[in-house]
Amino acid sequence: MGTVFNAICAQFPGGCDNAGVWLASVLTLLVLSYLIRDTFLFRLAQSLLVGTAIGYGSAVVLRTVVWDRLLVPLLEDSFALWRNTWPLFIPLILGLLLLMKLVPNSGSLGNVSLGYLFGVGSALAIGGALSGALMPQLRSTVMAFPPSPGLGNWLNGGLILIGTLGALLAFRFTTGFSLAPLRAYAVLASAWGRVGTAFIMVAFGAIFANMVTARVSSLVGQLYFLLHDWLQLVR
Amino acid sequence: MTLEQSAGQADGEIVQEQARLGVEVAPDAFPKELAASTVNIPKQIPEVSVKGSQEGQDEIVRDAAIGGVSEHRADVALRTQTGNSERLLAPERLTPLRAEKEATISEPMASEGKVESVVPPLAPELDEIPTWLKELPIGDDSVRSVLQPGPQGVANEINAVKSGQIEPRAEGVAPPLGSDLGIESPIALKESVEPFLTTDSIPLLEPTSSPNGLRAQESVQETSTLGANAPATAPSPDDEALAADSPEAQRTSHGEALSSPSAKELTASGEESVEQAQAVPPIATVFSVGGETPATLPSVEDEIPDWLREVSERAGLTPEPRSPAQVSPKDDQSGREAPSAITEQPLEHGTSGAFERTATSEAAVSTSDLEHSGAGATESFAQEITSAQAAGGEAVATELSVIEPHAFDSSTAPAALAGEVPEIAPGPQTESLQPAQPAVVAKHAKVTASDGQSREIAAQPEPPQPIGEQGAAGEIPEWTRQLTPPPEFAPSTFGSSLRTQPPLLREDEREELPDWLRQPLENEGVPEGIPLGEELEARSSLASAMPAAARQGFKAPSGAERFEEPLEEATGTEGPLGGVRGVLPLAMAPSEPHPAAAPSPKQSDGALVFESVLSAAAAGAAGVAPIPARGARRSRSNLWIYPLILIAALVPLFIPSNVAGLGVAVSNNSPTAAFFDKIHSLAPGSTVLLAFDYDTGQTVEMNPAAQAVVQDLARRHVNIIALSTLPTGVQIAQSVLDEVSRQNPEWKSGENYVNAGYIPGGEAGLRSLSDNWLSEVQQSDQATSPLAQRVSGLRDFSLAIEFAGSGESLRAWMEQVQSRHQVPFVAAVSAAVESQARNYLAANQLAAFLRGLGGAAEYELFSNQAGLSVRTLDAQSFSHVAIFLVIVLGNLIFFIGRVGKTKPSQT
Repeated sequence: MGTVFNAICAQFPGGCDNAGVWLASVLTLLVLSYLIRDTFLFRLAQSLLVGTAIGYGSAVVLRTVVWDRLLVPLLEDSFALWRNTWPLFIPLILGLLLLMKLVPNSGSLGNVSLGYLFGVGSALAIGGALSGALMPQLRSTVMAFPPSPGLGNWLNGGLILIGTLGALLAFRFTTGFSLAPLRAYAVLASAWGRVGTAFIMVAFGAIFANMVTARVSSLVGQLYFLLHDWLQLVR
Repeated sequence: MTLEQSAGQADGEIVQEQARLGVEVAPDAFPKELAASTVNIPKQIPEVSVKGSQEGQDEIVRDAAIGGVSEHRADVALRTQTGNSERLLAPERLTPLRAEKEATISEPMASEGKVESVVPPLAPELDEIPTWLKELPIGDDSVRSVLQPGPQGVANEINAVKSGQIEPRAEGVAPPLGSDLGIESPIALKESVEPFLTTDSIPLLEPTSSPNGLRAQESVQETSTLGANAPATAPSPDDEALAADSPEAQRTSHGEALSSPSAKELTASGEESVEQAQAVPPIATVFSVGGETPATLPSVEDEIPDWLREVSERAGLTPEPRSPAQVSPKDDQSGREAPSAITEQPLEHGTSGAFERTATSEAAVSTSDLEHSGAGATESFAQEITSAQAAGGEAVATELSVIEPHAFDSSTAPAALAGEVPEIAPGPQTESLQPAQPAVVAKHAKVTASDGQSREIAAQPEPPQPIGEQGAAGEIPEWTRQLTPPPEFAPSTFGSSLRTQPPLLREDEREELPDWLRQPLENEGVPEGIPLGEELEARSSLASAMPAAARQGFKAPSGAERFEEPLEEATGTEGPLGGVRGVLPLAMAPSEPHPAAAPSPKQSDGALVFESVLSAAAAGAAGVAPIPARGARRSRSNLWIYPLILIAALVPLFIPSNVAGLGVAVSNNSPTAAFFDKIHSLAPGSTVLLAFDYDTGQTVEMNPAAQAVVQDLARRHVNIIALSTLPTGVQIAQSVLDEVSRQNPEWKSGENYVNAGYIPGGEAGLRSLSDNWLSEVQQSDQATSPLAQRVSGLRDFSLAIEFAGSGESLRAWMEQVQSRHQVPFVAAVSAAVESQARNYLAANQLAAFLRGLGGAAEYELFSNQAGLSVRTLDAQSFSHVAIFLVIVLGNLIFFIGRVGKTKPSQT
């Protein structure tokens, strides 16, 4: 396969590297054509990008997982009647059951595999979130006080305290207290929650700005590719 | 049978009886004692007349008391009225009499399960003694005491007979009766008829094992028939006879056809009598007393008095002789297997001449009373006579005048119940009604000698046997347990009776009841017009199952209106009320067009808006072009926004390299500086883990940082083991490593760097990687490389660098790997993941991080390798400025246009 591809690339001026630059440049222009309108060329480039990514990913998975980690060990150990590799039949069976989703009237057989996947995934996610996200973040927030000496540290610590508690109070939905202390708490929590809502909005704005920055970086990098690698207008 | 069932059955029977008689009775019209409710007596029985004057009412009360009638029965008699509804006696008028009775009588008299006081002999009432009674020969004081009116006199008579002071009353003592029938006194008529009635029924009786059964045989052999309120468990002959008062032994002596739908014919009455009786709607279960004719009884033909024969012949009611088939097999037996037993034999519709007993106890007697008030009372009694003649022999007729005091209005009792014999207008029919006055003569225990002599004795006062007490375990006979509420059970009467009647319990038993059962519900507590379904809902699960629509339909009338409606007309056909009689049909409300209500201003505004929208759409349909479909040209704003950003991104790219990076501010306190310090703290020859977790779409942003870091590591002779949790990340890692290796020829694959490949499974794969490094890495192509052989786990790495293009990949590494190992972590993340990376940095989960293209440029500047990041960073900065200007201008144009629109509208 590689030989065929190299033979074809050899016919292109500048070799395979130059052919790849031209192909990438053309696809980039096809994608940028979306700025004008949604054309067939854009959809062609989009389909090529998605198809290539999925195809490459599937090929990698089949090659490195199914073949290297499952079938090859089973085939090599078949003479020993899978004495050492018999646990590999478990993922093999689960994988085959998952493929039954493609067979009409047999899709329910794949639920076993899906159940296994969801169960293991949920367990890992919950355990990891507790140990890897929630507890460390709580500890970090609590340890912000007392802050280090300095106005900036105190200001930063105050913002963390107000913003964190305000963000939590922003999701308080209880109301209707009858006792006076509870009503006072409700008023305070409501006001603090509004401050927390402002913090959340600022955070969303920051995330959106980072997203824009990331996409602008991609645009600039692709423009540099066109001007530097393809057109060679800039150095 | 529970109290509620008994009450319900009583009510049901009353309803049935009123249906038969055509009267309308309000079920709740009888409050606690003497509610002022009314009963309409149909006018087709004009021969029953009771004077409505005050004196007459008082006489009714006295006669009721004399007869041992309960207080309730007296009330019933007082409220007897011919014609339409009318209240004859207010409750307050009875209060003095009641108090007087209670003051003089020490022992209560049982009546319908309630302790009753007997009115003592009143001196003024001596004048009310019938003439025929006054004419009786009085020999001594004992006889005089016997003649004392009231139950005391009857008791004296019994005692006198027992002690031998007087002879049993001779048959001839009875005064002549009516002119046509030759019966002058109802009592005499009854006494004369009873032997024959009993004889007729005895052969049909089946003995039962009821412990409280009626000692009918003993009564008969003793030639005494006791009427009412005799203790059921009394061992003496008299007491045994008095046992007829037990609920299961209650009978009526009139013997007219009180039949149930399932009843069967018991007597050998002729076809004529049967036909006459069939006109009577079914109501009660009929019981016959005893088992068969006693051996000591004379033959039937011999015992029939001549005058009775004459009466029968005049009435033309001579029955046919009984067929052998109608005679019970035990008729011929001389003895009885269970003399005191009572057999319940359902009487078929139309059966006449049988002794009847209500299934439960009380209401049936009242219904029998009601039946006497009907038009067919005379005929029924005539049938009874003829049946007695046919059967022959001496009969025992006990009449239990237990009446439901609350279940129906007293006026349902006809004039015959009043017992005002002298006041009854003479006439054949009226006189024929006289024997059938259970309300009056109920408490007269009639002792009929074998020779035909009969007399009245006072029933022994007996503690009441309330229904609730009967329901006690162990005291309920088997036949009572098997009884089921009659199908005529009407929920309307059931609920009302529960509300109006007090529980028939003793005081000690009443204390055991819950509060809500101790006292009846007050009528005041139930608002008028309350849906009957709601009323029943609290008492019956059946009502709870009613649909809401059905409950709505059950509007319970208030007061006397309930009985004025024929409850039996409608019968439920479906639903929980299926088969229940007396169901009020749902009102058929014709649908009428609703007048259009005037719309509110808000509705009008909405209508106007809706109309304007419709008109605008219709008007613009022709001239306005449709929304451009896919592939259409974008809006005009994009025509200048996109070129502006494009120009801002392209122009800086033409800036010379030595000038690039003007906008980069390098600070030693930045995260990039910490990242750089962490890389440069690595010793040469150490091994670093690099995770390329970004896809091809992010290579433009992430590759500059990756290349700068790998280049710096290669320069410092740091070994690298690369991997990726994304399938496409493997090739990206390989391309970066190959590019750095090309720039650094001494840095070789397998020795200085290894691409471990793809780690499948996402978080699960990372978890497996952190726990079992070798099993994951050694399955790659370069697992046998010298570098891979030197690493046995995550602890062998000096640093772990995560190139994260998304927050999910960074989170997975932090949660599944970093939290389980103490390996220092740094990350080079996309700009979109910066906020998340800062959180991990603040939590010390990350030692440092690079932020997208800007962080890569900073790192290049720190490492003196200005390259792609520095050159493109100016373009990015200009692009940001262009985007900032677009946002500001766009908002200014928006607000200006908004202000311009609001001003004309305000003006």
